[in-house]
Amino acid sequence: MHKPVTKISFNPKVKRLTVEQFITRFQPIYPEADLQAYANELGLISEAVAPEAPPAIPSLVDGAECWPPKGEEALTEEAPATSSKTSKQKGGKK
Amino acid sequence: MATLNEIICATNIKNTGFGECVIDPGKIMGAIRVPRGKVYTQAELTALRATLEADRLAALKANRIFPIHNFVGVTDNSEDVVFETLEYGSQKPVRDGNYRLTYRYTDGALCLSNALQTHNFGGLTSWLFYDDKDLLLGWRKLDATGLAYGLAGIPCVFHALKWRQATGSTSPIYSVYFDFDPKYFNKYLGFVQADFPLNEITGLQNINLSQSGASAAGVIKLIAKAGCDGANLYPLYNGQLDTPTAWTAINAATGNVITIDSVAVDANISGFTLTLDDADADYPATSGGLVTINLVDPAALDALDVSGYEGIAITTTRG
Repeated sequence: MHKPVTKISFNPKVKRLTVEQFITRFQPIYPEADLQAYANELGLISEAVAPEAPPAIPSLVDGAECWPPKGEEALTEEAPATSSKTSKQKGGKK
Repeated sequence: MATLNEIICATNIKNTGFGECVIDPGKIMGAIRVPRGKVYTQAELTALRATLEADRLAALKANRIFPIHNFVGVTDNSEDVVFETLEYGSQKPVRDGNYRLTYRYTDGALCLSNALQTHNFGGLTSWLFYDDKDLLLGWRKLDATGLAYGLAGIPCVFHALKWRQATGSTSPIYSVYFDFDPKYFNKYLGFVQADFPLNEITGLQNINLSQSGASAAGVIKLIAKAGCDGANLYPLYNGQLDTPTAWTAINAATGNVITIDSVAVDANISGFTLTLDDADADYPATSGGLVTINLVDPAALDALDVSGYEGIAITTTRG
């Protein structure tokens, strides 16, 4: 006689999944388990209430457009005069 | 202190008086193989039970102890002292003969016999012995500091003898043989009186893992059985092994650890269903990729109340 597989221990790492992803992933494996209850127990968040991804910031998406900042190349060329000071500041005592 | 060109004769002989309390070893009841070169320090001997418990659970076999308990008899075939008979008829002692002791045991029977035979032919191995009063015997050896003495295992030629069949009047005979230099049990004898029965420090049992059915995309069903008798451990330990922290998964090609997402108890196979994290970078990329599944090491199993076991890894496809 078939016995339903319902006693499952999930790795806390599955909290990276949303409720929907969790059920999609584990439903085929544990079809008889109350995965919604497990999702609740794990504190998973539904996609419906999950925070939306922040809008892409063009300057971060394509840094080539704005990097290096204007005048940076000139600054770099002057580096011999300023670089030692910079490294000293980083490594020196505060 | 050693001094150049000066022999030690009369100065190192000992007085023959003794007090009311003397060391008088009883019947040897068991032996414990200890790591070669290991010297148990005074601190370790003070906490003897904890020390031996930890050592029996050591993750590496090179650091583990292997006890044999409940000897039921001894056959002493020790060499006699070797004398040279001189021309005028007197004899001069040349050397003490080696101890050659064969102990019979019945507990563990053929299971233990087969396990012990894997310790044969490995060169000298180090052993502690204990008597019927739980007096633990080894030899006094300087510890790693070079300043204090500790207890070390006696270097022995060890051999687990082949078992002998039962007869009309005897049960099967299982026995182990030890051959060692007498200096360790005499001049350099070291001993510690245990305050607990040493036969409570038991050896580990293997847990053999077998797969139930074929893997299906990171889903692996396993059955765990005790090594010798093949008893399924599911009824005893399904409540302890039903957690990802009881198991390990490794990419067999890279040796990297793969996250186990879930473990379920499966009464249909009297086993466990493991699901591997298919998003893990170490999860094999192809369906034929091999993964090695095992239980956590003996100490970690002990922490889960699965005490006295070591898992034997199984390698299979990830499905």
